[in-house]
Amino acid sequence: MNAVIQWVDDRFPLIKTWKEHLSEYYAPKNFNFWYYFGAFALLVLILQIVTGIFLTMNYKPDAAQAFASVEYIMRDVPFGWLIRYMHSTGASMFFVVVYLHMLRALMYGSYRKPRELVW
Amino acid sequence: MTEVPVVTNSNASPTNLSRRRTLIAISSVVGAAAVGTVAVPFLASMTPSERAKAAGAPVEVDISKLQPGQMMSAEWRGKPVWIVRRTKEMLDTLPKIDSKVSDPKSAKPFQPQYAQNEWRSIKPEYLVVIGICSHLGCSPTEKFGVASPDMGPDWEGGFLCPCHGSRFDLAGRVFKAMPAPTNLEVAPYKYLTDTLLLIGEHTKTA
Repeated sequence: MNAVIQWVDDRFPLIKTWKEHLSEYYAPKNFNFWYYFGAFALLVLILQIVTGIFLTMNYKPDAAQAFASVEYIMRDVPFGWLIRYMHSTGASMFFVVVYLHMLRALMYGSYRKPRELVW
Repeated sequence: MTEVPVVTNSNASPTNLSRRRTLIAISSVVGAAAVGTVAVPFLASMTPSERAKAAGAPVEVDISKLQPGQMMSAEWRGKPVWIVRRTKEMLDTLPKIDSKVSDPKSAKPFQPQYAQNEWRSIKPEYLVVIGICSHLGCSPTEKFGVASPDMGPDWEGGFLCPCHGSRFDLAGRVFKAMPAPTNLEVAPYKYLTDTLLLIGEHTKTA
């Protein structure tokens, strides 16, 4: 495992990037509840992509076949109902979470120097 | 990892590294459990649905009304499965044309082991074969008439594929020098009773 990481590290600054942006990212201690929504937005985005890919496995994008294929997903595909509801509810939740994330940025001035390029 | 300086923050409490490690371990375990739980419905959604299982299920065929020399057809997984009740005379022709067919002993695996014999069937009388030409997938037609005018004087009865003229004998064996490369495939089947076949499920062999 270490040899593999070393092999990658010799060619790409993997450990350095990991430390700079995640494990040793210098974050203020007084982050509060409002700062969670960025991570939530990332989580919902990943869920939307994954559930979307799984839905396309059974969905037929055709005016004549779409309804029956959704019916099939909801009734026959194991856990298809759950994946479809995750996708539809996730679409709404993505807006909620992103708006709260943006509100946080406005409230706390997260757009100011040196973060003008972040948004 | 050996020389970690003790970091102090504005509240002047030294960083407790062992507590930090415990927290990382706990959140890793909880995170892994969450990922594992979420993976279950996604993996389950790729297993066959009840509808797909029903579409591929074995079919029962009643052969009690099939007369000697007759043929009937059943549908299994969207494919035609022929059941031919061969007469004594039809069966007697099979050894005679061993030299004319390309795989007389059914050495190639296009039948279940329990049907790997001279007749390519469990009971010699009943042939159960998938009616799809091994060349390009047409459905051959039955030509049971011996020495019929369209098949020539040497014809002992069998099947002719209308697409490219492949000929098969009454055990589904392909004749030599035909477009079709292999014998017709024998479907997996078993006898539920003497007159009831289950096509799609193998006979248990000891």
